[in-house]
Amino acid sequence: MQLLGPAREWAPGVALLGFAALLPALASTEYVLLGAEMLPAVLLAVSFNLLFGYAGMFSFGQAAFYGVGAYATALLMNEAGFGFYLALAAGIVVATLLATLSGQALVRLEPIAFIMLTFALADLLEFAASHARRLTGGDGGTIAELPRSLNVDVAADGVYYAILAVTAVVLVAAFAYVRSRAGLMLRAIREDPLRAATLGIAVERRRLGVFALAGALAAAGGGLSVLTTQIVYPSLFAWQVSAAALIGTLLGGVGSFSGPMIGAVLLSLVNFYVGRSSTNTLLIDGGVLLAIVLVAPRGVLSLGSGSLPGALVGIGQRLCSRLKERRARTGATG
Amino acid sequence: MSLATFLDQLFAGLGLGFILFFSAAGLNLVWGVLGVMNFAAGAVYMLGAYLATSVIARVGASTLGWLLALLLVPLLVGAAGALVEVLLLRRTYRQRDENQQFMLTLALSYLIAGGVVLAYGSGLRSVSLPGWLSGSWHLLGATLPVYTLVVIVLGVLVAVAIWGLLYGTRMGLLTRAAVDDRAMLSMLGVNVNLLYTGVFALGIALGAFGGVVDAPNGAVTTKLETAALVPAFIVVVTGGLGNMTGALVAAVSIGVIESFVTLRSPTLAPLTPYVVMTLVLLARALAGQRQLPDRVVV
Repeated sequence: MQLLGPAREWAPGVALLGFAALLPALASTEYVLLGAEMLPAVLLAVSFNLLFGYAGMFSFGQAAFYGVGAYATALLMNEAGFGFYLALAAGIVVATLLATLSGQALVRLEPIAFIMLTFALADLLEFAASHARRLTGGDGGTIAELPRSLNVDVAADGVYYAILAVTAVVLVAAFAYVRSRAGLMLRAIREDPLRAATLGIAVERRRLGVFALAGALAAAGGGLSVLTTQIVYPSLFAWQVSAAALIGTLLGGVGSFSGPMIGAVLLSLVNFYVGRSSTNTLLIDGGVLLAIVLVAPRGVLSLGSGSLPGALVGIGQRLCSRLKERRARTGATG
Repeated sequence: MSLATFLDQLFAGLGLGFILFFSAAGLNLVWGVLGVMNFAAGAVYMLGAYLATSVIARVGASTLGWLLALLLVPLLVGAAGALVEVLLLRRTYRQRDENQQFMLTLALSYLIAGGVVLAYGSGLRSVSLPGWLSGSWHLLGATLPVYTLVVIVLGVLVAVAIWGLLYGTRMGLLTRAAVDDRAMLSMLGVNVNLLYTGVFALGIALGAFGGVVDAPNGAVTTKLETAALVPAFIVVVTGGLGNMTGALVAAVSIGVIESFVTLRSPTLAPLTPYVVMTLVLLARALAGQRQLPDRVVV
């Protein structure tokens, strides 16, 4: 137990992955496909949370690494004849290198500039993807030619399990990282960078390390998404992708390892059901984000004792105390 | 390069630069005083452009319609901004959490963009100008569009107005004081809440004004949001966060340089802001300055 830490950190995530493993047996193909599309979003949200929740670094450009992972995977399969897993691994390496290089400058910035320049990095890559037509196919994107061995058309479940297996491995690696000494140091930096530096923690090196790891996680998500979308296009780099990771993370709870996983799934479900009846998910996503920021800026789960029922009770308590406060105030003046 | 081409590009670049300045000035004002990085600036800009199409469609592409759009839209959007500040943003000052405020403005940008799609659909719209504004002049062989001159004049007027407001009025004095020490100002009996509302409304109105002014230059689409936001962020970072003079210099230089790059390679021209920003930040780092100064206005 010492090794794994408190159960609320990992138990919901394990439950989610367990349910995901049973999904093909429980639900129709439509939902299996939806699940396959959600898992990359889960990785992206966890990637954002590694930075924001554990290290206090508000990156608004995780789409940069998500997109690089997707493009590298697709292009290496198309142009270099790589198999899927090799292409995915190479894509993760490319994204990690990019994160390490750009991170040299980015992690030294103060918070607000970090937000703006990670955002600019993703936008720059979107520009590159839409203009390097010979390589990327420009705005129309490139269709990824998946190797026959994956039997994409016949066995959708096979693809689903491939995505799930990679996702699980990557998540375990990320969890091991946050439970390690390095993860502990990150939290120390988040709480007080100056004090952490005084204690002998190499602040910038740790920040760079987690930035690279988060880049790798996002790239894994992007690379896996190629299996279901089978196409890569410039809007993979759009800030809306980074924003979805942010909203999912907030929805599930910042800084808890499982929170963003649950949140990303919830957000995808909401958008799936809303998207059925209308194309305008902007209002829903904006409303969700606004509500969270105003009521529970540390995430919905932060309101209760880490569980969804607890969170609902927490929201109720908070509203009640607000009302009481207001009544007391009006009573005093009137 | 002939003199005529030089004049052509310089003129276009100045027009581009001043349009960048409107959004950047709004961002800077809100950041400098309220300490809020307004992500909704792009959405506000887009809203301004769409509302301009509505006003001009209603009144007609006459001088009156154009002037009405220019005045009415920023007023309306600014008033909505004041409402948002009072109802939403004001709750967040106590925690002094930049991230939370950023997320709040991100939510606003979603809601505005969603509202625009709801009201206008996702097709493109355009604004036509009254006849006297859509022509051009010939000077030394160069062709100078009248509207670009109007944009430049408006840009200079707005810049002068901002400086006049900050340095020539009591509100400006108080605004600068609020940047230094909000609590002290409040203790001196100044209504700081009202001041913040005013500054936020002004910042939002400036962004919407940029959208209205830019609307006739091209198609009005939902892509405007990101297209306006990224350069505005870059201008603000290049000029130094909160530094109004820096923003003006950065906006105009980026506009002019981009315009000359367009001559050589239209595809690479949009990269100009990034390159200029990187060079400026590098130069500053080499000169041993902090990459970004603290919150200061002007």
